[in-house]
Amino acid sequence: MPDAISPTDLVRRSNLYRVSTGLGASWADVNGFACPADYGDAAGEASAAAHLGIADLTALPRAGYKGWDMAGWTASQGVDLPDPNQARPQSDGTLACRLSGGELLLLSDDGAASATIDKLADAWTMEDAVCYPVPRSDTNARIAITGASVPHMMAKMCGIDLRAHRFDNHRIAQTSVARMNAILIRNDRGDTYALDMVLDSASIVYMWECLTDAMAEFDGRAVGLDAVRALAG
Amino acid sequence: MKIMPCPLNGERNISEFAYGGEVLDLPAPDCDDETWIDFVYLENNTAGVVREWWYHTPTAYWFIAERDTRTDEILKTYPANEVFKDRVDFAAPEAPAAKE
Repeated sequence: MPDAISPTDLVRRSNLYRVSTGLGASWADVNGFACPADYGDAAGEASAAAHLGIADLTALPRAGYKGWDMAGWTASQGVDLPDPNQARPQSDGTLACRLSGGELLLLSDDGAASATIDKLADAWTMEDAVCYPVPRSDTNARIAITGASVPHMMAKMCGIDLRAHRFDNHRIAQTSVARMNAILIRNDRGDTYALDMVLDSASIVYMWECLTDAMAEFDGRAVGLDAVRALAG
Repeated sequence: MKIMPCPLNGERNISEFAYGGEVLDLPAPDCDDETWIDFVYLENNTAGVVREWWYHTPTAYWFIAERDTRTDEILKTYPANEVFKDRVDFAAPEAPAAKE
């Protein structure tokens, strides 16, 4: 068995890492970025993820592009763009989230790689730029909130009606959650309702505490990347 | 709770928005100081229908709203590019003459 990874051994880690360590996280190395793989209770986390779980997925690749001809440029690179405030999975599993006419957010799937993000990063140059990169990987955190009870819990924190029949899969709400700006993307894992929340990286400890407090009455818990991956099958 | 219909995000709580002042025509760059002061600092304070800049904070999105200040009713909102269709370019100031 390989030696256990410590988050401080790796080059990058989420601002939540001390909290995750306190919860008993075992760590995975995602492209040099420490990610909580599990919290030592695989069976409990798997059932929580289907019911109500939160996972710090900040380690997974992200990218953003914004500018007057973002749509033209990303389409020329083969991105299949949805309408504003909608997301669309690409052939490699990357989720293309269109935040407005001229802004795109790319989230990898729960694997550790995104061919679309790598391709755009290689193709973009300053010289012929019609849009510019947004440093989503450095400035944002990502939390997956999974399970059937998510809309009930989120109703305590957010003014948007996120119930499954009102907020379709791959819809986006850019709104205020617990008085903080956040992007909510419905991104079901398999048949399980799930939201990906993208927020300011420096505020993840605050948001995690708010989520932990809100989910207590629904018996939610922190789950690792492995439990989220298992949902998608 | 007051609701603002955002052209990008749909109906949202007014607490997600910030007010950005009246929509005004930019004066000519070489106008006199009084015109600039009026443009930058003075509000018309109209009683009636006004056009205003509003900003949706979570998306960093500016748009225009038409509002009746007598009833505080929001009549209409639309993207700014429905009004501002052309890029505004300014001539570069002339370089100061070289000292002899």
